Amino acid sequence: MKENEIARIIDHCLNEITSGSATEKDCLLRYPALEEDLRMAFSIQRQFKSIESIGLNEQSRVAVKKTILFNLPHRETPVTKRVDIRYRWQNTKWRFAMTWVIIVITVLSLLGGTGAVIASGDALPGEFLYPVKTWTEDIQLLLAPDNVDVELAGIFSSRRMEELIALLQSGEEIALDDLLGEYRNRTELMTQAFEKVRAQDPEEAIRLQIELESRLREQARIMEDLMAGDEDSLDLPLRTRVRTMLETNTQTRLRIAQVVAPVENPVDDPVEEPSTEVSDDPEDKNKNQNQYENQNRNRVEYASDEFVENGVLYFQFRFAESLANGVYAEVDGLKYACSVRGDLATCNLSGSKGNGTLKLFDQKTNELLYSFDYQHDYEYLWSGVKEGGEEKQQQGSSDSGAGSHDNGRTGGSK
Amino acid sequence: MPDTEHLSMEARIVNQAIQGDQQAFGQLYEMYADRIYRYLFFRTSSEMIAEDLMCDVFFKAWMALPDFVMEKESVNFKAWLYRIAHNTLIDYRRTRKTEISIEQLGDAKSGGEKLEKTVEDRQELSLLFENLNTLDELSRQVLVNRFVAGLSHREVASLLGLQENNIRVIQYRAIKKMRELSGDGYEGK
Repeated sequence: MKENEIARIIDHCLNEITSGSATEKDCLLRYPALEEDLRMAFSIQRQFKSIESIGLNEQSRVAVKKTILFNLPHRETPVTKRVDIRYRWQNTKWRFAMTWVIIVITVLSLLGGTGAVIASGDALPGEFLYPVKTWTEDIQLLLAPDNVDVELAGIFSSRRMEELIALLQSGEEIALDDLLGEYRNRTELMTQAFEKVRAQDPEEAIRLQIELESRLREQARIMEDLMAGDEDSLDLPLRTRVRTMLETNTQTRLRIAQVVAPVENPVDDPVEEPSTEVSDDPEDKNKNQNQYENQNRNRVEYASDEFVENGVLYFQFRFAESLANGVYAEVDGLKYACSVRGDLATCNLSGSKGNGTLKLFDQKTNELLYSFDYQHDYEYLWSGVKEGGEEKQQQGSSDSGAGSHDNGRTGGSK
Repeated sequence: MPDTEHLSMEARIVNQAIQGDQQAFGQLYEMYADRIYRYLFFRTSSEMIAEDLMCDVFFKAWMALPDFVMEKESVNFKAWLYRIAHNTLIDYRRTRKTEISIEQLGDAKSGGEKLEKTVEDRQELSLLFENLNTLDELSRQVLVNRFVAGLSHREVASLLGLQENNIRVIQYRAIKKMRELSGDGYEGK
């Protein structure tokens, strides 16, 4: 075979794997004569894939962003009237805010010196200067317009993550309750401000939504990393608190991702999961399972595309009926946001494990809609058993063509 | 998020940035900062230099945005931004030649924490750098543009001024060369 042709085939396979339209195994079966070349190409692709997590840390990212935005050169570009008005308004607000900042700094200088404000930047919950830190944040939130509030509250919630790590490292874990309260407060303010922006300026809301989702996903990843450790690294009481913070994070993501109202008090009022109750009686278990399957058989048309984008796993389900209430997913007790468009639900399973049971719930009623077991190789595609039961398996694979398959682990994936 | 939805959302943000909306530009920064940083990191092997150059890239992008015209598929914002990054690197190297070195990788500072945390096997990354460093500049550029930047062959061909077929063959030969260098070490990883 000519070199050109081999290069084309290898490239085609790499593209298919990246897009999720084929697995390594598919390609190897299709081109057995090129097995060696393909395996090498897959291996190198995986190696590059493994470095996708490299990026700026949050602190640097924010610092660089500030540097860039504050130093953007003036550009001679016609600005639309709407934007012009908004900037004039922002400038007015900014002048107003600066007046207050000067007043606040003056007062603080009189009381304890500006050093107190600066020093409070590194303060942790439980420390003397921590209230100054949160108070300074409150002032900024009070003075900023709603769209800036969203970003500020997002930044402050990320600060809580830094404080969480610092507290756990320093052993000052008793202050975690304070931190939990602050995190809830900031995420709540963020959501409220976001909902105001969404009502006033949907386009602006779309832009903010991307930023918030990214920020919240990163926070969730940090907490999940903390919880992934053994009990020596995080004992049960601490784990419970981190889990509660993670719940808050998930609820915030749900509220931001959905147009519908938030799930009410998910921590104190756990979602009922009738079909997953463990029963010692096999008859009860079968009854529950049958009841559940009968109830949902006609609802999910198919469990369709799963795709990985920027290391985040997404599920898509098409339902037979409208999903006006919205849905959310749950894996191993953790909730994940899903966006709904018509009868298609897309769930962002950032940070979920490679295997488990995924359940879909109605956003408003908390009714269990669908459930199945899955295994996933995060590097690439689905593998192993995807669906929970035979009937669901049929539903899932017949329509989507994405039932059980091996992703070519023999080719050397992790 | 489906590609089409993502692209239409991105197009709206780009249009707002073209109109001078700095917040929209901040949004574009959030969307691309990591990717551009990673690309620059792989081309310079220095996290500090990558961070500095990233600022330049976004400044240049801001100034050039009014000239950016979104065409159907031939030019998208991602490819356009990577072209700026590519040109910024060329400018940088005109004044200071930088080669990839493992020593520099070891000295990486600003993002080192993140790097250690997110890449399970740092040695594997070092090996990747080492093997990349043995390739000629063109092959290295093709691999980094394809696998790190995630550009299509058409985009890489346009960036480097070559034919698509050439890019495929260069990629294939580069992969073969890396295999030869690493022997059996790559298999099964």
